[in-house]
Amino acid sequence: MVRYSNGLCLILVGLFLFTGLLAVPAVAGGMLTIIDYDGFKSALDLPIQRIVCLSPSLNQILYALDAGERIVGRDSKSQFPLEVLSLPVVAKSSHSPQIEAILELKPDLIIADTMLGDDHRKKFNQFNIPVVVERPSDPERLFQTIRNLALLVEKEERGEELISFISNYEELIKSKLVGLNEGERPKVYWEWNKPYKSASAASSVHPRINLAGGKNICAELEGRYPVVSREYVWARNPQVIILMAGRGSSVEEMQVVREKAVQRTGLKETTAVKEQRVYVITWDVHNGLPSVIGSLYYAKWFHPALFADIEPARVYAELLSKFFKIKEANPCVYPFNH
Amino acid sequence: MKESIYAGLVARRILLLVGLLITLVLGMLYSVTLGFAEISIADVYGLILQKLTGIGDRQYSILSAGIILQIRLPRVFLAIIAGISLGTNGAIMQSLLKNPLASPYTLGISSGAACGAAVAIVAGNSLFGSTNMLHWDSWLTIIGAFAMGLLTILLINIIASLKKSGASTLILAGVALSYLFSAGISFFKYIADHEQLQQLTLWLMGGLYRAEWLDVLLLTPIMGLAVLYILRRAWDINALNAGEEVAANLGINVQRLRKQGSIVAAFLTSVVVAFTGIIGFIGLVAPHISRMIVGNDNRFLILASGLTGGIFLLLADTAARIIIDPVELPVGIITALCGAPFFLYMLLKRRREYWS
Repeated sequence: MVRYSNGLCLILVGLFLFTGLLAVPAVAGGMLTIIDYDGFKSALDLPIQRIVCLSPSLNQILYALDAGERIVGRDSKSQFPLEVLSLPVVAKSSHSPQIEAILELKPDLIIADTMLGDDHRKKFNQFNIPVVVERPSDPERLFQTIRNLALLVEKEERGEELISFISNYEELIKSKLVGLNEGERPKVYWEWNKPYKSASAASSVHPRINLAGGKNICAELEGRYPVVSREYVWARNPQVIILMAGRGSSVEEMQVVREKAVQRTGLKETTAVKEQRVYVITWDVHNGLPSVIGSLYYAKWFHPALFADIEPARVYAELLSKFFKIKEANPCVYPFNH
Repeated sequence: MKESIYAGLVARRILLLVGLLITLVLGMLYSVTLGFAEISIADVYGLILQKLTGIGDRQYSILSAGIILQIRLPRVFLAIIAGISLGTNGAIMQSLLKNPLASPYTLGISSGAACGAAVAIVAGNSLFGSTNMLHWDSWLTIIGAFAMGLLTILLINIIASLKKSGASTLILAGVALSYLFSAGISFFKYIADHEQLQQLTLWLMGGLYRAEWLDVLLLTPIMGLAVLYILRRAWDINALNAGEEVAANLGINVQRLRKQGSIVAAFLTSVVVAFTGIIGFIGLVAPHISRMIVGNDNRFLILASGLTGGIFLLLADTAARIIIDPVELPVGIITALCGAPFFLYMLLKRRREYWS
């Protein structure tokens, strides 16, 4: 009887150990089905160890999720954090991936932004490489993008931490602006990379101006990023002007952008220039993950008294230190003493 | 009797030229009143008159004065100057090359200039440094376009010298160079980033957004000298239109005329294109309209074509400003939209005497 019960115990222990061994990959890995921004459903085998990511903002999110070591290839525009520079470049952008170079890396997954064409997606799928597309420039999609990437690299907790960091500051902005009258919203002129190229309500910058308590003077114009007449900007007389500078722009470069703009015929007589409320901000804090920093700067520029206690530079430093282990943040706006 | 018929014909043509000039002035006076800012017509003209004559002490707002004097007027003048240049060049190219499809861009100037602009926009950061590009991007683009336009002229000149300046040689060389530079543009488009590509695309569609008095001051004397030279050779070009042998018998060096005329026209085109980007159809359509109005005599045709070009571009640019005001449309879209149907109409309704 004892022999039987010992045998039964051994069998039970053996079964337990066996199922335990099977359960480890089921807990850590298994299958994941995900629907991306383009509406494509992909079934993926977890864990995903080799990722080719073809978007600067999506690469940033992967690093913030502590999954940087799984990236094996990048696009040429991905420059942050610095670790990414050691990875091989396999595309100019999502629009133009170098298929053979990517295949050679034997990735488990390709992550790209919406510039990736359907033909490329099909080509990768033919080689059984799943593709997930996200649109990091869409502020309304940001949290979903973080959640999707967190699921892919099995860092859901870290993802929620990231979302909570961003949403706390967004809520802070909203709470400070509760009860703001329409008249208290300053008129804002936002300009992209070319003189008088602005953004309408259909653009991704418009919700940010709204969130930060400003009034976009080009909101009602046709097109997403229309080129407006100089006369229009002058006649609408903006109270705040925001100029965009390229990623990684130096202080000198931002200074030049500002100096050139304030001397322009259509801008130099505006209230914004007269009251020195012309600001330059880089794309580094305008898109994707650090976009909340951009929103904080906007809010502070639009309502300096309400946001006197907020230091966006400090929040940026906190974000970099907490999620990227970077101790020092480069200046991303000009002038600093707003 | 013959003399009086001829005098009557000349008087009629002069009258038609005066009519075109009056239309251009009226167009200018109308265009300057249009824009987003609500400034009354009385204020617009009052302000301009006060500035011109110094009479009157009425104080106009900085906004009104600035918009009229610093935004609308330079733009109107730039449109007229660019239009006159393209129209004049179209007429001379069609005459020199004896080809109704010739335009200021036939010799590949537009592709060359566009390729130069593409180099400046896309490779500017690497060539000149990002800070210099931020400071001087628009001037570097102008210089790049102009320099490549000049290079095109040089190449055409070399090819023409080698092959004794035949009209068909010039045209074919222009076509070949256009393809060559188009390949260059495509390459730069391919390697450009998102922002550079946008900038280049806008440049290629042509526009007068940047119009400043400095542009007008730089372009006016160049245009004036080029048009004067072309007008001085009008008789010779008339003789050339009668046939190369006739012209040679009259003592005209046909090859030299064709070469010099092409160089002057191409030079003027590359200067204009450098400032405005590629504005199509003006140089193609203006000479045809003018030929319908004043006939084939180049003494009148060149001037008429210039004035028609000025009117066409002024109206097209005004439309580009106000169609979806305050959003600016690239003027090249408007000129092509109006010019292409008109050209088709002419093809279908063509009277032989337009070109004979």
